[in-house]
Amino acid sequence: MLPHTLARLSTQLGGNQLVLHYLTEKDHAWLRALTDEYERGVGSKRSALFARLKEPLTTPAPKAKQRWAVEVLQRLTDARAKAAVPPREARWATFTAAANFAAPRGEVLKNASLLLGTDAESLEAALFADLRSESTTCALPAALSPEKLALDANLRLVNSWMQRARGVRITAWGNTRALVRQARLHGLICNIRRAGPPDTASAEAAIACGLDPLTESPTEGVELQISGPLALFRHTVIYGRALSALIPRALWCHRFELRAECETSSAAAVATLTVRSGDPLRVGRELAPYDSQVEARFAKDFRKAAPDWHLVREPRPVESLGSLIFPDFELVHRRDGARRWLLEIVGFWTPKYLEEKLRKLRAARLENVLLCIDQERGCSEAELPKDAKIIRYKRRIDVQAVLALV
Amino acid sequence: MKLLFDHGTLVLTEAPDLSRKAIPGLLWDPRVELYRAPAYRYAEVVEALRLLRLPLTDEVEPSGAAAADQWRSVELRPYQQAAILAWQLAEKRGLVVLPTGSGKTRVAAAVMALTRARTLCLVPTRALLNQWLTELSRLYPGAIGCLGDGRQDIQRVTVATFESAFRWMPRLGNRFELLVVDEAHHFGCGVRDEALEMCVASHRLGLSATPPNGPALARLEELLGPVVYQLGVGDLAGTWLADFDLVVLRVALDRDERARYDADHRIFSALNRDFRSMHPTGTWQELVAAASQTADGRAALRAWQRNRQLVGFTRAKAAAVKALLARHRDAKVLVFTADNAAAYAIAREHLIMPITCEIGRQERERALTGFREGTLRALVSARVLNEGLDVPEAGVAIIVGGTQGEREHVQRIGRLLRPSPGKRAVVYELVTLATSEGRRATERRRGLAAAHARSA
Repeated sequence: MLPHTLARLSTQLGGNQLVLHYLTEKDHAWLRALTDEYERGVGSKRSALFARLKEPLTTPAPKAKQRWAVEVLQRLTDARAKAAVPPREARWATFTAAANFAAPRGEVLKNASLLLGTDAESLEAALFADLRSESTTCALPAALSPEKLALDANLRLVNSWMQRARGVRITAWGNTRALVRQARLHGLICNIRRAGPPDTASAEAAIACGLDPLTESPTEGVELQISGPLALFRHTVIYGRALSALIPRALWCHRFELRAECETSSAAAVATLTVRSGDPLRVGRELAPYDSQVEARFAKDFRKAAPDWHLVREPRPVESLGSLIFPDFELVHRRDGARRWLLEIVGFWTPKYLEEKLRKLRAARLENVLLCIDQERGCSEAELPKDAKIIRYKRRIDVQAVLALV
Repeated sequence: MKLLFDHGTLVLTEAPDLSRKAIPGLLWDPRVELYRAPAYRYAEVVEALRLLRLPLTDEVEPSGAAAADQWRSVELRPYQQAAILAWQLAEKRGLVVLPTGSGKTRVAAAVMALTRARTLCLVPTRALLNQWLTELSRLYPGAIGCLGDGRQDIQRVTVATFESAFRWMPRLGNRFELLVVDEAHHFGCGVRDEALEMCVASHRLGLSATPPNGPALARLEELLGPVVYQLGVGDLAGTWLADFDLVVLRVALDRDERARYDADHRIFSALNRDFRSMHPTGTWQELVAAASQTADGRAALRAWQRNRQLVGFTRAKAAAVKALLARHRDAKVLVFTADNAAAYAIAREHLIMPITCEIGRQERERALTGFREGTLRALVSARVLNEGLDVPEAGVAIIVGGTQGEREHVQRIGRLLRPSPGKRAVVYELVTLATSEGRRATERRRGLAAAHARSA
């Protein structure tokens, strides 16, 4: 994690709002000067190079932003130990020789170097060559341009604040399932409700930043209120890491706005951080289209075996007991749109989880629901709803069994 | 009604209205519409529900835990036996305060053997993690789990670093009945306290040589229990701990260093004076926060930092280290510095092994073994050797500089106190005259004197 003191320098507190000074296009010129200066220092001592990079550049740069960018560059680049002998061996041979022979320093180095088949000068140079402060600089990763450095630095700035978040509220449209799943995977409490349509300005912003066209209805979104269990008893930033893990997921929503309550000081003062679609942040790897191998196999098998049915990967969330449920699939008959089934794959489960899920499904008065339950999890018949359509599976869901029920 | 563990908390499902019942820590959680309590209040919650005669299915602890292996017999000194008895009498909760080198790990092992409970031991560093694993494996024949330093293995007896425990406790907090916290003084001040809150273990043992005071101690008592047994260095020195002499060597800055020191000192003093005139009772943190707002303030803080670095390893200190290492050519010497840069400078000049956070685990272990066996005669470290690491053979310490105050000083001197026949340790403390270090050194020695007479 990057030092929070640096994050504070790149942030302004306006009222109770955190205003982040993102690196933008205006900064690309000095970022280019920074990476050029780095390239000139390849092969030199890393600690010396990074000290130099913090000094004024050929192209003037805002000081706080420059320090932040240097810190990020330090994390994105590698160091190499450049030594005639492996430094660990050099240390052991030298320091044991010094302990055993009461001789002047030069002689100790000479004796030790003979043991390692090198000369005293090379041995001395190797002593600490593998330590961060002594290592030499490697070339920049090929793909690292000033633009990418800026996006990466911005994302790290957001993450640095998110680590101090007590809870977040996210309003998102499209690809929201992954967001909910991520929150629950980390044991966060996620209260979900339907959100109104996005405003035109943010819709245009999303399109402007090259996001995929919506696969869902553009007027439907969800509002997530996310916090950790312990937050009931005290203000805590223990869930900061889990909350910051939501950012990469949010960036894959078609549109989103995230508001986090972040601690700004040790005195526990709080301010709001707002991140939204269109902010200049690095978007990570594309999310896997399926949450598990079982889902992926089922989708492939079903599409092949049932051409009459349309398989919807992320169906419309179902409202139940003031919250939303995200079914895994919806099966819609191509010629008869009234024939619709929701399919839920229950892989890893606990009695509490299953109980809760069934309670919600029943409350939503859903009749056409298929539950696929992993038989290796030992779910007893008594724990399942009497009226539910159940398919037991072991590693692979039998598509013919599904078709027989629908 | 079921009581379940939920990510570091307890939840009650199918519960009747409990809003008018006094159940410790239990609150209604409107987010999930369930009652919830912090995990560390598990025993109190269960007790309260039983007193109310409410039907309760307790599903907090996972079933199917492996049976305990038989512990080997743990030999104890009289004061260690007394500490364990005091802990048992305090309902198996509490803090045992013993000086460094007096065998706190052995007390913990004896408690584990006595209770045969599923145990999680928390230690502050990776170096201590490995030391605890080695120590426990001598006394416990079963598999010992490890969380930290790249390993994630949970067993009936598991050792974890504070950092790993903080990350894993929401998932593992219900698996242990006994929680042992080494160097417990790191808790109680808010940072990482949640790790202790999210564990259901009702038996808790904290170990420390330097317990905190005031609110931090009160918080520690809430999370681990009260101080149940306490001895100072003075109680054990000469019998169970080695005696030691503390020699303070006052050294001066040379002309160039003095000029740089005075120039930077003037810059910082001006800031400090202005701040004190506005906020006579302001804390150091408040001063830093205020100074960070302006360019002049930031320059003053940089000046202060430069002076700390300068005073930490002056030319006179370098000369003193050279003379002392030559004088104790045949002794096992530990050198403590204020930062890694000074440690490397000394290591390079005198060809002695540095033990820093940048030196890998295997190499560090090899160096410690080499030091014990005599293959290496001296070690130099900024912080890694400060706490807990076992280097019983060390007879001489040279304290070149420090940044962490009284507690660090007591812990460092403690490294030398592990006894051996006829041992009398020597501690050299290098203090730069007419600098802020003089005042800090006086405070450190005051802390040491307090630790010396802790039980009096």
